[in-house]
Amino acid sequence: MKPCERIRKTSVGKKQVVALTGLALVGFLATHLAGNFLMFKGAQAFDSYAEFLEHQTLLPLAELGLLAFFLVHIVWGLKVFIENRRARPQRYAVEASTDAWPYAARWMGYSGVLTLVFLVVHVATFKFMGPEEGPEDSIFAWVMFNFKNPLYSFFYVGCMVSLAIHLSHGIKSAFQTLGVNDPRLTPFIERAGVAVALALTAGFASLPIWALTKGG
Amino acid sequence: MSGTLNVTLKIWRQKDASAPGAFKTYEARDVSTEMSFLELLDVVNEDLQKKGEEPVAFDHDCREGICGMCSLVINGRPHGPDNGKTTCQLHMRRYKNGDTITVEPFRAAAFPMVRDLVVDRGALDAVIQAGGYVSVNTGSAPDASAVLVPKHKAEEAMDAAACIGCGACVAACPNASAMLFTSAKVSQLALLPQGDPERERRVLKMLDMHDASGFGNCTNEYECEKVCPKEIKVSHIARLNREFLRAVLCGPEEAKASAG
Repeated sequence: MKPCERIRKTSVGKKQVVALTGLALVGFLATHLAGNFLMFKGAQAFDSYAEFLEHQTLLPLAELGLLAFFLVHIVWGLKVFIENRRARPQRYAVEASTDAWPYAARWMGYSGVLTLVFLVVHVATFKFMGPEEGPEDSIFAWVMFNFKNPLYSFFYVGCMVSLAIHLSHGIKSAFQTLGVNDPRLTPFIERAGVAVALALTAGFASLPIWALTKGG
Repeated sequence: MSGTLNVTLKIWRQKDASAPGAFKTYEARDVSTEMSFLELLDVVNEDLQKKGEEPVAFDHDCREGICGMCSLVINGRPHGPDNGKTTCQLHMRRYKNGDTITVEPFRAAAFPMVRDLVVDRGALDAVIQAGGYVSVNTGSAPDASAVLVPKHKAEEAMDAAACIGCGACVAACPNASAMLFTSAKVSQLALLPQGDPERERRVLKMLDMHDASGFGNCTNEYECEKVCPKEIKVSHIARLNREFLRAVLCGPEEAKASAG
């Protein structure tokens, strides 16, 4: 069996692909958030950053790569999730967990699907609908216009909370799946994973909350 | 402190895999607190036989906590409420008078129902048969100094070798994955020089059999570690993951071919 086929067919191989693409996507989220924070500097800073990105010749290539990472992570993650449902066709009458809060891990499939719904709405709003259809010819204004809609902001913040739950298990889990487990390192990875998840979520959610309360 | 207590048992009864199962309630009166949980079931069965009813089928053998034959999910936890214990080592002094105890079989697609509380755990044997052994000739007993094993590796291998193959990890796993079981054997043999020559082939073959048997994928929830009567650690699963990566990315072609 060739390595690719082996990875595709073995449970551990599938998980390792999901883990690697997941960690890469966390990296993407961090850079995305750094860009978003320019909104706090005002319309000009944010708009010129957006324009700078749009004029990169390699942008379509980067977008395709990002799409591929998302697709692989989603498709293989769901595959693992569905296989796992099938492995226990009959559930226990008494469900007891040894964990105080086992839900982050149990909900990976659901929080993942919610994130996918968010992605579709998010890309549709900010990539395929533009400021030219909105009230003003500025991406900053278009973002603010959407964020000032309480319904949109509520959806946005809700999805970010779900993402935090997803990542609070996902990040530490990725390290274990890739074989990193060490009595000194693992407690740090587990705490850092939760911290990164919370920091990313707080960062992303801060913008719609800021738009709603302060009004930019 | 010895004494007696009354407990209500809700036990899963199922004639065979094709018949529908359901819980039946039994009242156990004047149960000695010194009884083990399996002895309680023995007493319940004696009463059932006296009444002309079918006794409850359950797996058991050594009753010393070392054979891996007893099973049971007791109030939602394989082998009952205590850490590092099999069901046969659980005693009725752990319960209070008037408690209701729900007893279910290990549930997993890979463990077909046999009867009542008995399921077929043969899939675990198949995983071991696929590669959990050393087939290279290790010769006669070598000089103690000829095969060097560092102490920390010997200890870790011994920890992994403590697995009794009871399947509690599968029963506790929300995905009914046997990864803790599989990793214990992969880890034990990967740590020792005798296991080294076949390590790539072993991990690939055992994982293939694990997946083909209908066990789920590990999602690192660590429920297995906490119910394991031999307290096998999930760090062995991480080692299995490393062994897999190693076998796929840098294992010899021959190992891959024979595993395919």
